[in-house]
This record gives sequence, structure tokens and C-alpha cells, in this order.
Amino acid sequence: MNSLTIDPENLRVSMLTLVLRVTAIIGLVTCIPSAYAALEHGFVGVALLNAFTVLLAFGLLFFKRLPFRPRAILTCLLFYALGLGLLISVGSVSQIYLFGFSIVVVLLLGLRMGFYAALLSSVSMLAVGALGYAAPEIAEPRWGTDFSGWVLATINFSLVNITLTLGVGTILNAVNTMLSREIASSTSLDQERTTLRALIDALPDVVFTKDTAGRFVNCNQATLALFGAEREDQVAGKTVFELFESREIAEPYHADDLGVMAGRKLINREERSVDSEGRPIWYLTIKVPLMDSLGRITGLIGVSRDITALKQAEAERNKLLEVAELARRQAEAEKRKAEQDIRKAEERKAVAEESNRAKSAFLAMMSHELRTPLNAIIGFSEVLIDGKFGSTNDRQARYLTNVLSSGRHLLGLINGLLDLSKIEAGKLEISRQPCSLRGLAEEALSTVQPLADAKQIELVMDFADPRIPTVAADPVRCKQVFYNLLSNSIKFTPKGGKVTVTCAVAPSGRTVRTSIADSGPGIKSEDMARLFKPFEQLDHTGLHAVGGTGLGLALSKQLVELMGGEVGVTSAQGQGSVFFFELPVGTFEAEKRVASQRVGAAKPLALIVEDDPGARELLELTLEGDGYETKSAATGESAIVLARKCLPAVIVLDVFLPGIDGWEVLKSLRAAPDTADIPVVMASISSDRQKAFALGAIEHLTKPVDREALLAALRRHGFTSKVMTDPVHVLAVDDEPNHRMLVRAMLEPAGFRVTTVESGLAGLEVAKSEPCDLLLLDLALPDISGVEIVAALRQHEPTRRLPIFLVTAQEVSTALRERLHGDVELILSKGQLRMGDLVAEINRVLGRHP
Amino acid sequence: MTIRVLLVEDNALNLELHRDLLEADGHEVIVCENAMEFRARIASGLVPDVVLMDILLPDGLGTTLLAELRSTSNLDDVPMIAITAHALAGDASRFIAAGFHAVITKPIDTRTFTADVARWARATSRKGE
Repeated sequence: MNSLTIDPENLRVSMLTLVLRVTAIIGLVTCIPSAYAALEHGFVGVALLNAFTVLLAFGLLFFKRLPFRPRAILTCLLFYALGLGLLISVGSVSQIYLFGFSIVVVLLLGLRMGFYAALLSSVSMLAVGALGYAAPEIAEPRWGTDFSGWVLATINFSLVNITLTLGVGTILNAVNTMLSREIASSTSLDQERTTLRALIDALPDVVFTKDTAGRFVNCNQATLALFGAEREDQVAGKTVFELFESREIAEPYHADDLGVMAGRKLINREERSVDSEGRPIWYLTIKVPLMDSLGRITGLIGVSRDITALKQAEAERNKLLEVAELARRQAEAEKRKAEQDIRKAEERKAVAEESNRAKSAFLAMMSHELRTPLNAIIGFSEVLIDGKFGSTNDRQARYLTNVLSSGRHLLGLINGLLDLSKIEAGKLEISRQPCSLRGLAEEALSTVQPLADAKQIELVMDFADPRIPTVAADPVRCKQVFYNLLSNSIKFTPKGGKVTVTCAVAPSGRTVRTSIADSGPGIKSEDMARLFKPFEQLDHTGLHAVGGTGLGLALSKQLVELMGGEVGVTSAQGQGSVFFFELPVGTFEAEKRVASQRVGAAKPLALIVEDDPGARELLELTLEGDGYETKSAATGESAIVLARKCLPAVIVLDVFLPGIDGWEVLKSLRAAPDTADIPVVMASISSDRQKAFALGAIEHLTKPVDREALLAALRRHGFTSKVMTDPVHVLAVDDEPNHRMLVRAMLEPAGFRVTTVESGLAGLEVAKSEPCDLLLLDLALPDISGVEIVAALRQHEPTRRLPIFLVTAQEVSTALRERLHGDVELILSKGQLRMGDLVAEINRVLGRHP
Repeated sequence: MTIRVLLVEDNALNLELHRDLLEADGHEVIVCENAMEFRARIASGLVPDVVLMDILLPDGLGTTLLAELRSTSNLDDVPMIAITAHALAGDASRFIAAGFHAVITKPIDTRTFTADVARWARATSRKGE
């Protein structure tokens, strides 16, 4: 019996089935004896009824497709038919079947139908009695004689039947109601549970409950995912020790669990764990005890939130902070180190400066102390030789000559030594200006002529090419080199020999080589190397008492190298020697001119004052060809008016003019503040140089005016009056703050606009983007070397001709000097930077004429 | 024309050379061997045509004496020539900047010495006229 399927419909169906089964079985069991007895007593109808009801019961039992209600009604009718049939045939003893009918109806069709069935049973029974069937077995059995007996039996029957039927029906209804209620409540509980479950499963947090033994009871999807499980039963009933691979991980959980079971709440505990794939994860966990209605702890409920991402972000942040802190510390250390380096460098510099100062002081003192007695030696011997105080005899005169020449030798040695020491200390200052080698050679030759004459040596100057370009050199030092090499050659050339000076542009076109060939004994190749070292005068057998200090060649080599050139010798024994030096062609002059032109922006204006139209035209052509704009005046008066009006960059002024002469013009120009600063070049047929300079002319030229001489003079002095009024913008690139400050302090009071930049790349940017007139560039910058900056600027058209001064604390090698030659105007030593010099050099290079 | 030269020089040999050269050409030479003597001479009212001043004296510097002389009212335009063994680059311009009219570097050129001194003396005395 499926007694557990409790719902109202099923209950009635089950009861129907039960009734049918019982009826069928009892019918089957009673059918045969009953039918036999009936037939024996002649009740054929009863036997037939018997058989009919058994068959119907079986039919209904197995014919389940018939809906419940017809089946139930048929079953009820079966009982009614049986009851009625037996009542008629057997008598009131069969009233039990009518009672059964009422009960079956109330069971199968409800209370109301049961009541009707009970009434029908009573009525049927009374009707059978009324129809006169056998009397009920209250008295003797007789047929149709005692109706009152039937009434009595019917009343009794009805009382019992109705009472029991209604009782059974009521109980059944109550059961039915209870069942319905029970089912309804259980359904809503289920639904609630399902909702809750879905809710918990949907939570991203790990939610679980455990029993007191620490076994998982319930767990949501997140919990399953944590353990890599798919179903709840894979986790439920297990402890952390079974679920985590490592005891180490499980132990702290378990310890926490024990704490919670002991009644302590665990709030926001951070737990470290690993996920099912072994990756570290972090949880923020809450565990609280689970209690029953009596307050006993039956387990715990836990909620764990995955805060791995949070933790990772935090770790990331900490790491970043750490890195930042590390970087900060490193930067600090670097800064400290840099400061230390600067301090050390300053100390070193101070030491070097001190030692330099001491050396310079020593040199100055030595020079002074040696010159003082030499003055007496040379002076007295000179006056004696000259016979100023009476004549001497020949022998005395010869001796005195020896004293004098020895004295002069000594003086030469002192001067040479001083020069050499200065070169070695980097203190010899070399200027660079256009020098005519022809002029220098002529001067030097005239100086050594007496030496040559004394030995009857022929001095020849053979400048085959009339257009030798000017070189960039220091004229004084250049002359010194000429003198040294010439006197050296004369010294080693025997009497009656020949010394020839030649000059030619080198094949490269960038240098000019001057050669001095002698007809001396020549030099052995093994001696060549020693030749240019100090005090390495070669031993020439048979040529004793060769004068000279032994410093001349060494000094010449150093000087020429300082000027960016080189010295050399070619020689073969017995065939004489050829000493030569090469100096760079004066290219920077051309660049300088362009530079100042750029500063002046527009073409500079030249005012030509010349009354002779031919000469005027020539001057105009010359100047215009060199990038000037020209205006001309034929008289002094108009010249003054024009000069005041146009404020030309330069004035070329003829002396002899109709009306007031050039001198008067010059004076009145100088007298007016507007025109006082305009450079004036005087041109005259007389040689009035002194007068011209005294009146403030920058140059005096003899007519006819030589084109080159005029242009050279203008270049030397600059020509843009504009430059004088516009502040010159100097860009200083230096990583040393002190030096930047120094440059500012030097230049700003002198009226320059100074921009300072502390790194090479930034300097390069500024130089390219901001128009500046001159760049003061530190050679040793931390990010990019000065040499690279120079190269970059020279490749960039707008800065191709920007004048650059290289400022350096270090020695600049000759090779580097050569490389930079033409690209930088000047190399300045940081230690020796002086305000006056710097300003003067900037003015010189920019062609300013303050 | 005879000029009166006040010669300040501490080295005896150089003093003799310079004095003899000047005297040989007929000039009057008054010598001082140190700063103290020079001051005494000036205090005594001497008015020379030119002063030849050594720079390094045992008791002072020629440049100091120059400044002293310049502050003496009637001697402020007496030409002063430095005659010195300080012959390094920049020395001469330093002395000119200090107020000397000219600088003669030792060793001197005996052949032009007196003429140079006389020219300077005359150039300035003419200015003073």
C-alpha cells in the first residue's frame, strides 16, 4: 500500500482501490459457497447477483482507465445492488450491505453523498418491508406479515447507519483538510528553501555551515568552486583536513572553527589560502556559532569574501611605493654623491689653482730676479761696446761682445722657458685673427737679416702664388715661429749658404704651408724625433758655438699647435733641411662676418663719402659685393646729414673733400651722440694713420683703397650699429649651477641677455627654437657632449653659423682643437674665465664695437 | 735740453747703469735707493721733470709711490715711467692702468733708453706749459 502518498485525490483513489480489492477477494471467497447455498435453497437470483457483483468488482479493479468518479459511483451502486438484492431475497439480515453502501459512498464521494446514501438505504429498507417481503429477524421469519417490524428495523438501521456514515465522513473530511493544509505548508517551505538556496548560491562569497565536528554541512557554489567540487555532496560531511591538500593550510581554519564553537565570533579575519589550482588567494572571513532553540552550539556558519584582487592591488601598491622609495633613496644617494663629487672637484680645482698660482708666482719671481742682473750685464756691456764712455781695444771689445751675446742668450732662455711653462700650464693665450703670411714673413726676414748678413747667407722669399689666403693665427706668436725657424736655419747653414722661404696652400685648401729650406748639413733621420723637444740641440760636429737656446723649435711646435696647425721637417744628411709649419686658413673670419650680419638682421648699411665718382663706384661695388647696402655722399656736409638720418653701420670717409674735409666730418660725427659710435674708416692719399686713430677712426687706409684691406678692416671691427643697441642674447649651457651663475654675473651687468640651460639636450632645443646670438657651451655635460652639440648645431641650417664658445674645465687636446677648428670660435678655460675677457671676446666675435 | 730725472732703483748695478746713461747725455739724475728716500726727496720740495720708478723696492711698491706722488698737489702731472724686470704678459698694461705714463722693461735697450726718457719728459712738460 502506498500509504505515504498523501493527497486528497490519491487518498480517495486508494480507498476505492482498497474497497474494490477487498470486495473482489471476499466476493471470490464467498461466491462459490454462497451461490451453492442459494441454489440449494432455490434462490437463483441471489446466485446470479453473487456472480454479477464479483465480476463487476474485478472489472472495476482492473479497468483503471475509467475516471475516478464513474468508478466510484459504480462501486457504490454495486454495494447498493448487493444490499438491496440480498435484502429482498434473504431478508433484513442483509441490511449490513446497505450499511456498507453508505460507508463506501461517504468514503468515496464525500460526506454529503454519504448522508444521501444513508437516507436511500433507510428508504430502500422501509420500501422492501412495505412491499411485503419477509419480516426482519426480530421475530419469527415470515413473509410480508409484519411491516411494523420492518419499520422498527429500518429506524434502528437508520440511526446506526446515519451516525456511523456521518462520523466516518466527518473524520475523513477532517483528515482531508489537515492533509491539504500540510501539503500547502510544505510546498511553500520548499519554495522558500529553493529561493534561499539560489540566493546563497548566487553570492560571490563562500558561504557554508559546519557541524560541531567541523564537517561541512551546507555550502554554496562559491564554496564548491573553492574546493573544485561540482556537487554539494563532494564537500558536505568532509572536514578541512580532507578538503585541503596540506595540513598546514587546514590547521588554522580548524583552530578558528574550534574557537567559534567555543562561542567566540570571528569577524573579518584575513585568511591566506590556495585555490583549487594552487594559486594563492586571500579571504576576509566571518564565522559565527550556530545555535539551536536551547542555545546550544550545533555548528557554525561562515562567510568568506575573496579579497585576493584587493590584496594584489595593495601588494602592487606597496611594491610601487617600495620602488618609488628605492628610487627616491637612490636619487638622494646620487645627489649626495654628485654633491660630494662637486665638492671633491672643487677641492681638486682649488688645489690645482693653488698649485698653478704658486707656479705662476714662482715663474714671475724667477723672471724678475733673473732679469735684474741681466739688465746690468747686457746694459754695461752694450755701453762699453758702443764706446759711450771711451773706446776699448779690440780684444776687450771682443770679450765684451761675448758677455753681451751670453747675456742675450740667457734672456732668450728665460723668455723661452716662460713661454713653454705657460703653454704647459695652459696659460699662454693665443689670439686668432686674420694674418697675412707675406707680411709676417717680410717682418721676420728683416729681423733676421743681420744674422744672415753676418754669415753672408742669402735670404730668399719666394711666394710664387700671389693669392695666398690669410691664416687664422696670433700674429705675434706667428712672427715668433718665423723668427725661430729662420734663425735656426741661418744658424745651421754654413757661410755663404742660402735660406729660402716659400708659401703654398695645402692640397686640402684648408691650411697654408710655409717652408724654410736651408743649405745646411741636414739632419740624421734618427735625430728627427728629438728635434722638437726642449733642450735637444743636435750635436753638429765641426759646428761648435752654434747659438740658440735649444728651446726655439720646441716652442715653435707648441705655438703652432696652439694655433691649430702643425710643424714638421724634412731633411736628408748633406742636402739641407726644410722646416715647415702649416696654419689653418682664416675661415672663421668669414663665419664671423656672417654671424654679425645675422645679428643685425637686415643688410648693414655702409655710408661712402667720396667726391670722385670712379672711386665711389668702386667702393660701392666692393661693399655691396660683400653684403652691404650702401649710400653715398659726395661732400662732407651731406655726409653728416645722411649719417644722422640713416645711422649707417659703418662709414668709409675720404679725407679730401670739397668744402669741409674728412677730418672735420669725423670730428662732427664724434661730437654728436647719435653718430659718435659709428665706426669710421678713413681713406686718404696721405699717411695720416696717427691722426685718424687720434680722432677716433677705427682704421686708416691709403688710397687707392685695397679691396681686401677694406673688408678685412671692417670685419675686424664689426659694422652693425644695431648690435650695439640690441641686447645680445647669450645662451649658456652648463650643468654646473655655479658656473651658470658666474656667467650671468659676468654678462648681465655688461648688458647681455643671458639664458641658462643645465643640460645638453635642453640646450640644443633652446638653441634651435630661440634665436640667440652666441652659445657658451660646456664641453663636458652629463647627457650629451659639447662636441656632439656643436656637430648637431652645425647641421641645422639656422644655427649653422651660430658663434660658439666652448667652455671647459679640462685640457683640450690638440686633436680635439683641430676637430673643432672652424666650428667653435673660441675655447675658454673655466678656471681662467674673467669678465672683461669674456665680454671682450663676445664683442669681438659678434663684431660689436662698444 | 737738460732734464731732471728722479731715479728710484734699489739694485746698485742697475742704478749705476741707468744713472750713467742719463748723465752721459747731460741730464741731471737724482737717485733714491728705496721708498723712504723717495718720500724724503719729495717732501723736501724736489720737482723732477720725470720719475723713473722701479716697481719692486725693498720697502714698498712703485705703484704705491706713484699714487702718493699723484696726491701731492704740485707733482700730480710729473710723468712717471716704470722701469721694471716684471716683463710677463700683462705686466706692462697693469702698470699703465695704475697710472704710469710708460713702462720700460729690463733689460733695457741702452741705445734708446735716454732718448725714450727724454721724450716722455718733454711730451708731458710741454703739455704742462
